[in-house]
Amino acid sequence: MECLGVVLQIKDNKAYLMTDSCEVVCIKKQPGMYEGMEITFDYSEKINISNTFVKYSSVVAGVAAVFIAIMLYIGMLPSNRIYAYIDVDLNTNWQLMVNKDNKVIDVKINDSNSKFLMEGLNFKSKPLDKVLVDMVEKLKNNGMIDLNSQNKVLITTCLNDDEIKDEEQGYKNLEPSFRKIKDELLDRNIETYFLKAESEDRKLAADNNISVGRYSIYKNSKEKGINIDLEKLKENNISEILEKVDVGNELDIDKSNTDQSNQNLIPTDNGKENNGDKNGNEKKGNDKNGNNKNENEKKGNESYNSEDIDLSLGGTGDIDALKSLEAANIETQKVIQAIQQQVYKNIANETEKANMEISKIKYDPSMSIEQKNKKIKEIESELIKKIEQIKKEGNEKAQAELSKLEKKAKDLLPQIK
Amino acid sequence: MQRRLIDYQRKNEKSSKVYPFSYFEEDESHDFEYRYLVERDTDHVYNFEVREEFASFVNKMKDFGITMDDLVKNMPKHRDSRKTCAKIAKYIAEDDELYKKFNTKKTIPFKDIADYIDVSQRTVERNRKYIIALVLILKSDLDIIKNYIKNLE
Repeated sequence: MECLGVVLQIKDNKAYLMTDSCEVVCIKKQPGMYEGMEITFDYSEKINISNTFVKYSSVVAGVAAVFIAIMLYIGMLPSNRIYAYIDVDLNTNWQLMVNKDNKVIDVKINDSNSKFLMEGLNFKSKPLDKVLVDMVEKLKNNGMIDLNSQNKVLITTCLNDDEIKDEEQGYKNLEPSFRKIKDELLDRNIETYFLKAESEDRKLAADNNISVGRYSIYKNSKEKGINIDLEKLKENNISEILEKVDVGNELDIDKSNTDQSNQNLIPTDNGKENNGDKNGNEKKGNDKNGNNKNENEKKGNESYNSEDIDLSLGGTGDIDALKSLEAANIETQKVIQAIQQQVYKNIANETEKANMEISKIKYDPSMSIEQKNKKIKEIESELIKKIEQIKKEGNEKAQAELSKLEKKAKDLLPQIK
Repeated sequence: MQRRLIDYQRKNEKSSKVYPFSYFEEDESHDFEYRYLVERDTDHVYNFEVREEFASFVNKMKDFGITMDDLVKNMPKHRDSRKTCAKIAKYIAEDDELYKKFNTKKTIPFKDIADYIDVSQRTVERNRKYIIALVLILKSDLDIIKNYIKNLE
């Protein structure tokens, strides 16, 4: 629609016109325009000023939204709020503070002898599992841990109550990291135990100058009616403690996984002990001795009576008893080995004698071949009888030694009980 | 030669169409005079004077705290509402006392005009900027626009 208008003002790139219907409009400035000029223009040329504002505001809002999205993505906005405290007990004790994304914010070393762990450690905003594995590697490099032998680590998680409303979800959030840690540490011959702890426990542990993990063990045992000496708990090696106390895995990293590991734990441990103790022993003795020990351990693990644990952690008495039992076991092994050697020696002697006689008979010209064969057979059967006799005697002796050991073990075990 | 003349005539016909015929029908004598003037005074001196006039109008608007952007944004959309605004503006511009009040207070003296004009205060307030602009135009020497306002009524 064509309109007639007078230019009122020219400003920047715009011209303000008064149309013949007394409407003030704004159009794009054209060359040769001056104030007071009467021109015809198309009504669609009109610039809608309020619209331009809306247009720009939407652009600005879009840019702001993208900017915020980027900020969120980079993780600058979620800030460095502590989401959980991860307490690690492995020969030494340290604490990792992580944020919502399982990234480490801060590390606190509780043992003054292990300050080297912090040296050159780049932990800021790194994933929890990586930092933990790095620290374990450092421990290994500094000789604090021997990865050739079986080690146990206790990882205690304490969620920050101020940050987390839903506790279950909170632990779930940490699970992926824990799963990685478990796998990584298992490759390094370290078995992982997970425990949960309350904020209160953390404070109490700090008051008692004990690590949160150890305090949790103490608390859990106490709830089950078992008294463990706090001082002993402080001093003992974490691997020993974990061996003696069934802490279980409170955090189900992966249900099927943990179940397996829990089930596997006991039998494999026993199996290893058996192998170590009774190498070269006679089978009968092994079985009996093994059974004896197995029974004892099973009692400890399965029935989990307060008394049982008391005896296993109650003080130095039990450890002494176990030590003497072990010594006796080794001694018996030696005696049995000696008996075995004696048996082999006797058998060798007898066979040599028999061989000599046989060769004599063979070269005797006064005997016929039939006679020779008959005699040789007689000697052979005699030899077999003798060997059996020797073996029987040896077995009896070994049996006697084993029964002695058994008796000793029985004597010692009631003491512990 | 004849053809050229015909062509020229046709061209002139087109350019004359720029101005609507309504101009000739209504108030004929005045419009013709006005057109005559415009065509004759397209010299630089006249341009300069007109420009000055427009500049002073914009400055006066500034005194009232109104920019051209404000005016465009607050433009009454319907011709009828513009008509009522023009009526109010004319009333203020023609009454010297009212204009004095308007100039000193820099607002529309609604109380004084309420009795004569049947418009709600809300409407006046909403179109305040436009009315002020119209009053200023009517009180200035912007003849072209004054003509537009006259035509509007």
